[in-house]
This record gives sequence, structure tokens and C-alpha cells, in this order.
Amino acid sequence: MSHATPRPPATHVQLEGVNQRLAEMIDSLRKGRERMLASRAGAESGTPVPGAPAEQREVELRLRARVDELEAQQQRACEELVEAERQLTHFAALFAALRQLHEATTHAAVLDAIQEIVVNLVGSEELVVLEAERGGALRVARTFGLEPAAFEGLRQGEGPLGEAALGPAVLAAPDPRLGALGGRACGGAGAPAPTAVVPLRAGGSAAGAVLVYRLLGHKPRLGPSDLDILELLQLHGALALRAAPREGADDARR
Amino acid sequence: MPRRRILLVDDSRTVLLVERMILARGDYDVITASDGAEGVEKARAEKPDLVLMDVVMPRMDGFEACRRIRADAATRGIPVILVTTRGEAPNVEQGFASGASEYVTKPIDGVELLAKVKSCLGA
Repeated sequence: MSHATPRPPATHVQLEGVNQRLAEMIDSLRKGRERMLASRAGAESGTPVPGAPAEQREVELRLRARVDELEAQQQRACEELVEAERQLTHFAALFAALRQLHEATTHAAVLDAIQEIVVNLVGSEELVVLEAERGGALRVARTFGLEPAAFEGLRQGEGPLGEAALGPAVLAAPDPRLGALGGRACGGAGAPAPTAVVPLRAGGSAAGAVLVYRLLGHKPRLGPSDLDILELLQLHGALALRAAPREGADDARR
Repeated sequence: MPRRRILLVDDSRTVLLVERMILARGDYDVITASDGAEGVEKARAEKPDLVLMDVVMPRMDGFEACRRIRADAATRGIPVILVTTRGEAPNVEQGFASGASEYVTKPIDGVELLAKVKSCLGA
């Protein structure tokens, strides 16, 4: 069993020594605090701390580089988030278009859906829906913002518009082939060329075509997401029209 | 914080569907109306936190509906964002003159719409 040796009473000399060490410690802490404050101020202002040890400046430089890197990462993340938001909006538009086309149970409702898609999702208030009829006619099934008379008498595969209406793929501005589809081809000498021609095709047969003319004033051009919608319309517009035939009409498929 | 309620007013089911899907990414409950007159009625009855209003609609257009919402003491504080194909300056001016808080053009840009919704809701 051990016994603790009692500490001798502190002498005056010992107390002075402790006091001296405490004073040194306080001085050291004060200087450390001043360096830290100067370092923080330097980091915030972007200027090196005068008199700071080289090692400390190196740490500061590394920290600043790391902050720059994190800020760049944050910027990239924000840009990716915005792009993801745009993609989601695009998918929402495609889904809405599909749903509207296939929910339509009557012929008129399919034409309404096509019109809504072109007006609200593509951005044009000038459109024509032509339907292929037995005998080769292209019947004007719907116009919006345009006079139907300009499109009457068109025939499948005849003339530039009749050929484009039966084409294999969507034609969209700035495709130079669209230039030939205005003027005398349709509506008279001064008639504008369409911005897009969407042949409605499913399973190799043509159901008609959607002609899109002037875009909304605030929309300068068709973009990639518009082309996706027009391509969706090409197949699913045809399928929807086929699934909801016009009352009293013969089978209009070619 | 309770979920915010947004009244969507548009005669196009396609647009209502797109708006609903965009707003589903925020913390919002959605109610709908298919023309301006129904929109005014629902704004009065449901007291939503925000209205997204089309302009060209049957029965009552969005400008008139916006004016009526502003004229009614029960609804005048509800922010209204006009969502329209008519992006020309005179139409935008008419929209703000009818009391709209914001203006968004179609085809809808989801980023822009969500930003303006958040701004109007003070979120």
C-alpha cells in the first residue's frame, strides 16, 4: 500500500515561476489569436497575410483553391439541376401529348388533341391537319389560324405539299426543302412556306399530315425538344386517328 | 409549414397536365378550373395561395378573370401568374394592367415557371 507524499507548501519563488509561465502562455495565446484573425481577414479579402509564416500561407492558398473548386462544383451542380429540370419538363410535355392523343375517343377529340399539342407544346397558332382519303384526296380536317380554302384540293403524292405530306419523315425548319412548299404550291404566290410538315404515318401507311406554319411571336425557332414532339405526333397522331375514325367515313388509310 | 395550394386555370387539358407535372416537383397541392369563370369561382371558394391563369379561354378570358379576382376583397391578395401563348408586349402590358403578378409564355419552361411560382409565394 502506498501513501501519497504531501506536497510542500508553494514558496514565493515557485509562485513567481508559475506566474511567469502563465504570462508567457497568455502572450502566446494572444499572438496566436491575432495571427488567426489576420489569417481569416486575409482569406476573406483574398490577400496574403503579411508576416505570416510560409507554411501558414501555403495552407491558406490550398484552402482558397479548395474554396474555388467547391464554388465551381456548386455552379456545375446548379447548371445540371437546371438542365434536369428542363429535361423533366420535356418528358412531361411528351407524356401529356401521348396521353391526350390516346385518351381521345372520338375523331374530333383527336383533332383537338393535335391542335392543343401544336399550339401549347410546340408553339404555333397556325396549323392545318390533312387527312388521307380513299381516292387520293387530302381532306382538310382542321385548320387553326389559317383559311381552309388555301389547302383544299390537295392530293396525296401530287405537288410539293402533297408529296411532303406523304413523306417518310418530319420536315422542320431550317430544312431547305420547306422553301418549295410555299407560294404557288399552296395558297397562292405570297403564301408562306410551312415551318414543319409532319406526315402522320403508322405501320407504313399514311393517315394524313400536320402542317405547322408561323411560330408564336416570342418563339424564334424550333428546337430539339420540338422535333421530339413532332416525331411523337407523326406516329401517335396517326395511331390515334386510326383508332377513332370519322363517323360515316370510309376507311381512309392508304 | 402547410402545403401551398395552386389553382391552375386553362381550357387545355394538355397544359393542365404539364403544369401539374411540373408543380409536382415542388411541395404544392393543385386544383384546376377549365375557364376564366370557373377560375374566379374556385379562387373565391378555395382561397388558393396562387393562381396560374391562361389568357385565351372560353366563357371568360384570363384578363377579365384576373380583374375579377383583384376586384373581390376575398381574393384580391392572391397572386396571379398569367400563362399564355400571347407574349407580345401589348399583351404583357394588358396582363399587368389587369392585375397579374407575373407573366409566363407558352410553351412552358419548367425552370422559369417554378422560379416565378416560388417568387410569388415568397418561398
